Amino acid sequence: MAKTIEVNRLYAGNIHRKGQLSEIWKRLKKNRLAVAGMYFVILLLLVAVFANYIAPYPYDKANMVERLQYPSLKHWMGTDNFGRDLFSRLIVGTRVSLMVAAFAVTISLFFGSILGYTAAYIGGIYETFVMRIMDAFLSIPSIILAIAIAVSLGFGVTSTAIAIGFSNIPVFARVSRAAVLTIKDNEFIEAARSNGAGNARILIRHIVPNSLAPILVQISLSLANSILVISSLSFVGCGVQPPTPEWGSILSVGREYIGDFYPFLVFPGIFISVTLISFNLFSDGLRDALDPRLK
Amino acid sequence: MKLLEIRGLEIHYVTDDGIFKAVNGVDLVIEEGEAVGLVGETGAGKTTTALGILRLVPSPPGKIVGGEIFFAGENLLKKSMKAMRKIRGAEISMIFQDPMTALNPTIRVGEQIAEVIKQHMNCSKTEALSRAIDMLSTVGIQPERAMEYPHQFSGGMKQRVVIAIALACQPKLLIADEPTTALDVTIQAQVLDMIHDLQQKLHTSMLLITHDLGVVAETCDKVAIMYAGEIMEYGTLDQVYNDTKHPYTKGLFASIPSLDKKAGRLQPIQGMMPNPSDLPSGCVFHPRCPRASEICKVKAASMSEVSGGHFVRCILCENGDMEGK
Repeated sequence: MAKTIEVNRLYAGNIHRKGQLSEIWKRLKKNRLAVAGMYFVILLLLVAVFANYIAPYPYDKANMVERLQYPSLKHWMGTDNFGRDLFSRLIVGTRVSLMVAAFAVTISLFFGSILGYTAAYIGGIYETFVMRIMDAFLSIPSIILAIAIAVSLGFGVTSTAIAIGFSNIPVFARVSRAAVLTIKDNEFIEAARSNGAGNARILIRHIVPNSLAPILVQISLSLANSILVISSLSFVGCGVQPPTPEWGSILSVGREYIGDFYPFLVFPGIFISVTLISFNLFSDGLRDALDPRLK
Repeated sequence: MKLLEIRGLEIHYVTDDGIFKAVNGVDLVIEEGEAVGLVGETGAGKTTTALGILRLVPSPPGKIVGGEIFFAGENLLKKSMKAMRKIRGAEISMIFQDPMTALNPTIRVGEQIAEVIKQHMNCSKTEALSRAIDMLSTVGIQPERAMEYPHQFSGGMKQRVVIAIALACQPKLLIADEPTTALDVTIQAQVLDMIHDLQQKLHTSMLLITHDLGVVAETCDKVAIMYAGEIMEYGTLDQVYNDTKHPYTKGLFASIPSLDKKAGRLQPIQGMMPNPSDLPSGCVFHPRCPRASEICKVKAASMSEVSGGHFVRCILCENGDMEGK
């Protein structure tokens, strides 16, 4: 019993418990741009969650009287060709973009890392087989692959997510395989094996936690990339379909008014690019923060 | 009683560039509670032998092609991988060379020790952790540090943790693969003393792999000299150190600088270790042996017992020519 108390005391009173996270945060904080990017990403998440409360108008409320209005106090970013409030549509579009991106990255992370981890860990013919298939997929530009998948699945939110998710699997397979390869030959893996650990335990306890850093960074980068691809797919009409508001599809409609009515193109463009920049800055900072050897 | 008996162990690495014969017919016996030193140059097959005992020779390319390894009366080479996993860490455990990389950087040291305990003994997490903390104090680390990560420990401390992990389940056999090579000299002495004390206290048998004859003299009961995958000389410390028979062992001793004599140059053994993919015919040591004769080039020597428990693999001893000196 005394032993239990001793152990509990160690757990409770330990100042080093949160050691690693706070170290990473300390390093990330040094990079001002990354922190700014992170705050913007958090803001975007909040906007996506509370879109219905933030948007001043319902995103699908048409008002032909007020169509194609320039920004005003009433309509901060103007209105579109049906008189719908652009700001509201872009806000709700944030939710669509982020949800689709998150779903897509989940798919690619899940399948990609399973393939990558097993390929690196098992090795041999299996590895060659898996990685050559991944290489073949990588040789197809991901946007074209995504279009092909989206077309074959039919258009819509879900199929867009699936299309982007699958087109990104090779990226995750590669990153996770590379991460495992650098960890696999460490002596502590051999030591674990010499202590009787089986493959499952070695993978879960020893390899996964030590190979997370590059994968986390890839998640962040892929989210940004997915948002871009969603918009591109919607722009060419293979992605999210109107009337669901999506940055790319709003831009696509706005294309007809290019030269005549700037808000239709400028505001969705700003949303897309600022989001991408923030994600990329954050990913960049995260990569440096997760690798203590840099700096 | 014999705890470990290796008979004619052969381990080859089969690669595209040829077959590397790392271990060629090693015979070795370790009695219960006994410490045996395995000494040899880099590439002599010491580590491969050790990994062979645990059946951890990386495969491919490594392959155990022949021999038998009896541990507590059972042939390890006939066991299933599942049975081997139960033995590793619980019955036979290993200390690795470099403590810097032998610990998982993402797991607290206390938990790393507890992990082995949990795996082999049926006990709760708390129980395992409290045993882990006991182990830590056994190796001289305060319990407070159990919740720290490996990077917060110095090299010597890390090696203590590695030793704690190895001894956590009180194995019958401890394989220490150059446990002090990566440490500086003062820490080496501390760690060696500790290994020696614990080995005596827990009555564990030990196979100490090193290329330092001085280390063996301090910690072992018996010593085996290995060269190019073969045991050249085997016997008690007294037999091998004071009644050295094999020309290779003599060469090793001759190349140790003396503390009290003023010497100009070291006396190295001429030549280089043979390439394990292209071993010389006859006796593997003959190209470097100062006493080699024509017959050594064609006929491999077998182990001969020159006195009780003192084995030498040299044609000179086979012929009864034992003047040696």
